[in-house]
Amino acid sequence: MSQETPTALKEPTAAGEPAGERSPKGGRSLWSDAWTRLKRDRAAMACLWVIVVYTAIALGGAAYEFAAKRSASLPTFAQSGNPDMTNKAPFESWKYPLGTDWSGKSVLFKALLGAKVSMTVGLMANVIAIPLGMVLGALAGYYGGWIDDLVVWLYTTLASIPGIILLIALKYAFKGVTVFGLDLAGMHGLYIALAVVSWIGTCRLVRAEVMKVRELEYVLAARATGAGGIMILFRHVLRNVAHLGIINFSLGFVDAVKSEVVLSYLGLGVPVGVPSWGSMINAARMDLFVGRWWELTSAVAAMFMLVLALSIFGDRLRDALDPRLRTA
Amino acid sequence: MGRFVLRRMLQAVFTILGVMIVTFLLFRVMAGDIAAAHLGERATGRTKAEWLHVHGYDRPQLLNVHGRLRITDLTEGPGSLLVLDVAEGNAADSLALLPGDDPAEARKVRLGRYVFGLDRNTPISRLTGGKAPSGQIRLKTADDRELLVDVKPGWTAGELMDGINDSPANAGKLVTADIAEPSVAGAFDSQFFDHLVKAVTFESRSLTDNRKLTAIIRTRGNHSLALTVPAMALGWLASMVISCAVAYYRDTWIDRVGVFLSVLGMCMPFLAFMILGQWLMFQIAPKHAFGLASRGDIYVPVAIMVIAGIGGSVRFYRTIILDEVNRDYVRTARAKGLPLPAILFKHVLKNCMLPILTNLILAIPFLIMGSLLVETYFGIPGLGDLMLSSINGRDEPVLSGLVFLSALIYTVGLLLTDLSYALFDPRIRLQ
Repeated sequence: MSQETPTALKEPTAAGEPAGERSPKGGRSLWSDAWTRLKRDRAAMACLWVIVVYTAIALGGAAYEFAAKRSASLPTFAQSGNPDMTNKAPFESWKYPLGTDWSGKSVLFKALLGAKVSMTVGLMANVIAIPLGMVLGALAGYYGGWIDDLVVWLYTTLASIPGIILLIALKYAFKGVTVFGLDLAGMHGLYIALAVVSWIGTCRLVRAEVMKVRELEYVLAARATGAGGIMILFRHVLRNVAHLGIINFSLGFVDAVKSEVVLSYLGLGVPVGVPSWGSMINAARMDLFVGRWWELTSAVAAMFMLVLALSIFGDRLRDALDPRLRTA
Repeated sequence: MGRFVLRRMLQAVFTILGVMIVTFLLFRVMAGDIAAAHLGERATGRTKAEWLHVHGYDRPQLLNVHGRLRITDLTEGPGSLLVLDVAEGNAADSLALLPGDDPAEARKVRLGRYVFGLDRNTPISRLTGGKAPSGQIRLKTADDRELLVDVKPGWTAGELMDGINDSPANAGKLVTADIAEPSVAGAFDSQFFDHLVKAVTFESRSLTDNRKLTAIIRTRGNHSLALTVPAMALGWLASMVISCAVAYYRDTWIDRVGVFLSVLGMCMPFLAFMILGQWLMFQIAPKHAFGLASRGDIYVPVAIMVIAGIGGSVRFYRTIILDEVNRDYVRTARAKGLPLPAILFKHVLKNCMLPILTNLILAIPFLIMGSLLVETYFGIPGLGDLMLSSINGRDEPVLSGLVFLSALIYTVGLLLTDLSYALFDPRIRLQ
């Protein structure tokens, strides 16, 4: 599901690489160029594979939950606890390779299902935040004037409030709020809260880039041919800053995953009973003192691997798509 | 220059105003039933109304251009108008009869909510916020005479006033009920302006123990500073040294190992550092693993903050230094035969200082506000810990005051960095 990034890159490659059908002179598009560069980068490809594996686990977890809800023989996560097998160390029983928690649930099962929450949160928060940041940033950068003032005011204001406070306050404010049938107290509120905090970076970057692009010749040419402002903005300008959206998507994904873990650890993230790495860490935070290391270690390791793969891939993607941003 | 400064300051004022609007929306408008959070879910309508009134939450939210019903005691002699409890009916409860709180108002009783455009035809349910009041209102005047009024659920405000004024028990006009019209002077007597003025003047008081926010900050701020100042100083020093070393040995194994380790450090969850750090300290010196009672208690939290932050800083500083190293003046200096350390530490570092200082200045709010996670986990009674407990306990004035303070410091810091860029970097021209 997080494969938004690579698939977006793959598409032009499949069509454009063999003969360069789109451009008769045989030039390559930014996307295919970046993809070739990425493909040569072994670290990036390894990370991409890790992300693919996590996505598969997340999809598998979703499929399992879907099936378990409908069948009597498969236990759902809530039913999976075994009161005779609480707090078992790894490999004490072949059924529980990573041991069990206080309620006898398999830690491995919990960590695998946690991937689903993290991947969904990362995806959904950015699905909201990136378009929001790009459109507002583009409008502000292109039109300037009062629109620019308004957008800049909005993101400066939000950026001045400590991020974690904003997140916690939003989660509290969403309690009992229902918008369009979506209960904001649960996961939807989490996506929105994370999106509210994370659109700022994208918006800032896109605004600055659009301000530069606005002065380029092709925009002038489009204007000279009589294209309207909105048309130029969405057809030409936004397309030329689209790579910023992709870069920020992969970097924002990491932040969303990290924030979800912290929020769930504080008890404000996922609803009670939903398996997530943050709530695993919260449940196991005193476990080390009684010698139970497996639940904590599993959650931390699962999160560490994903964050590591995502951030290295995000960095490489940024370098491939826009080397100038390296210093930013 | 003057115009730029003025423009930036105006922007800063609007930013702070924006922060106050956001905190108002989040902590007051969307906060739900604050009175119930403080008094418990079982509190009666009248105790809640009284609490709301005492803390100013019964006022209109944005502008006070609302009317309100009031009952005035007309009898002679000292004393005040009292509302007595009535065994049956919910009239006194749902109409939220509140006696005046200061001596000048002691002989007036406010009745129901503020209602915009209140007149005689307003239905009574708008005064109660939807509830239909029925039963008796029982009042005791200053000269100890009692007054009973039967309230009917379907009444309008006018009928309620008439009911009080014309009731047989009110013979001799002991009390009179009328509408308190909004005044121009009182228009800003609203929740938003109260929220704004209290935060800006640092007059906020805690809802739980009525302590002034400034007094709370004075005691708790020290604990936060004891944690963050050493953490920031050590963290900055360590990451500067490491990033210089890494940049100096660029493209060797030292560089690669350094970058690799900092990426690992960045990806390690902060929570893992905390839990592991505390556990390790518990193995070495159990009494220093929690709280902030002696100097020894601060080592682990500081170490954790330094270690957790070092990865990001090293990568950031390394990028800046390497960016500078690739410039022409470095090549010229090398061509002239200057030794590399001299170039790196004398010229390059000087040019790197602006972004590094910006980074430091923008971290100042964090310096004062402490770290929410570390403080709550290690039981350090600082401001970060206070923020979390105020959110959980719906202590809105404390929370707004703290967010205002951190936004203020952040905005002023941003302003100062912009100005210092203008002053120290001749390449940047201001419009």
